[in-house]
Amino acid sequence: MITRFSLKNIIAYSSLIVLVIFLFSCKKETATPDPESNGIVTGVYALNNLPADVNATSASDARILYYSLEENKVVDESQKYTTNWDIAFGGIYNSSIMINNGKSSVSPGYGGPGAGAIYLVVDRKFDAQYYDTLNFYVTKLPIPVHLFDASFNSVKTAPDESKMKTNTLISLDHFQSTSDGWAYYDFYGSLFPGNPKKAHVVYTMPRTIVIKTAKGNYAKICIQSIYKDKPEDPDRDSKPGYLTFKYAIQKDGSKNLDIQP
Amino acid sequence: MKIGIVLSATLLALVAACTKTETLPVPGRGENRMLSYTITSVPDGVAPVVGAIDDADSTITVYLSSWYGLIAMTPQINVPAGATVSPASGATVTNLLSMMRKDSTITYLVTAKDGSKKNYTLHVRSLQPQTKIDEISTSVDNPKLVTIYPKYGANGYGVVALKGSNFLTANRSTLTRMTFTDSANNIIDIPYTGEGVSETALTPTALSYRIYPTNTDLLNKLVNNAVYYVTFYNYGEQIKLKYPIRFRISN
Repeated sequence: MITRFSLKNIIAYSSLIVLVIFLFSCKKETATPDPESNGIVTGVYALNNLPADVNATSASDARILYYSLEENKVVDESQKYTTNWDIAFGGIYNSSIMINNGKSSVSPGYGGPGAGAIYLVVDRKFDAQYYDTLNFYVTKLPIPVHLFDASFNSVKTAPDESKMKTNTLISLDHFQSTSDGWAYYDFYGSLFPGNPKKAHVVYTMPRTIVIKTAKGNYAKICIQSIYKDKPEDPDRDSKPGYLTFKYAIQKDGSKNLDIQP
Repeated sequence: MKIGIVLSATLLALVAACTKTETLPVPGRGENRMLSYTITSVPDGVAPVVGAIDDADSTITVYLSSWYGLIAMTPQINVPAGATVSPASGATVTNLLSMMRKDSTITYLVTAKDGSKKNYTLHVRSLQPQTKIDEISTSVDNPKLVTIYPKYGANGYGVVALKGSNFLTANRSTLTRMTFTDSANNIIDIPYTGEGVSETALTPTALSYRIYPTNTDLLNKLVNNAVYYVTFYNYGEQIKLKYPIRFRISN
């Protein structure tokens, strides 16, 4: 009798405990908001005329602009050793695109906790529409605007981890280097001989960059202009330091970048 | 012969027994100890830097190669189960240069499950070939003139040129520092503005800081004809020159 009674009790109590645990777990799930999300979900985001260093000169590096793709906002320099930013614009006229990686001496987050990476997508067949792929200069100006969206949309997945670079930055195309870049810098004005207003002009190219954020999510970004109001045909009167770009971020941790607006 | 062997065996056994009795009991492991301090924020392909934890001294000592050029580091800290550490594991130490130059320090507090606490002081030291600098002036009474020419604008800069050995060549704007100390012990920072050559052309035997007439903030702090003692910081090392220089603004 006693044995049966306690067995019943055990069943009753354990059911109760299970129920309570169940209720608590439900409560927890619904009551805990994600403090990280800031409302930014997987999707496509566009920024117009984001002011970087609008007072920069060609004499020295521009003040670095730190940006969070995860939260779609500018981050203060005081947070450079945190995972709160994913991409930084520095160097001459903010033309170097840098990632947040604590193991990379060319990252402003060197020594910090960031684990970001970067990969510039270069498709020579696509480039041939506006660019001399053997001599590395722009052949068609203004570069047709629709190519920017075409490049952005054609990147549907992040590359293998082995291709993502951690110890590099993406800068001007074949300028004082042999590296592909995201923009063509016509230092001498050689595309427009005799027109002094066309020297020292940066022509943004329709090239998409895959970014691994400081926290490990994948994103893609295509910069459309570094000049105020993104003039189709910029010259020396155009005001540099104003970034216009489009990016997509995948929040589920996968490499899927086929993200629709 | 037999007796000899027996004796030797007995003696050996005795010696072994003696050694055994001398073994001290292992002290109990404090639950408020720091177990490991490892820096993984080093260049890719380089082994993590492991800090030396000294429980008796309550210190952690980290040696960093100047070759890494780190000015911040992110340690992974292990403590016993149930214990906590503050600042936490993964919190970036952002003032490495001032720590190496012994201007500042960080103390970690480990709190065990039972509430007992232990402090550890972090020491960061640089591993680098010793920096040597030749005196700029020949004696206290004969300070070398550093002259700026405001009438030439940005081209009228004065130069404090150092000769010596083992100056860092990479990232000098961040990893080196120059200060002037005046007779009242005020310290004035001289910003590094580049040396007119590309970074790849810099050598470990020469280095120069420029004072531009266009830098009005700096000029407001400097006094015409005053004498200053130069201190140069080469990553973790610090050298104060024995003989001063004289700063002059030309008409």
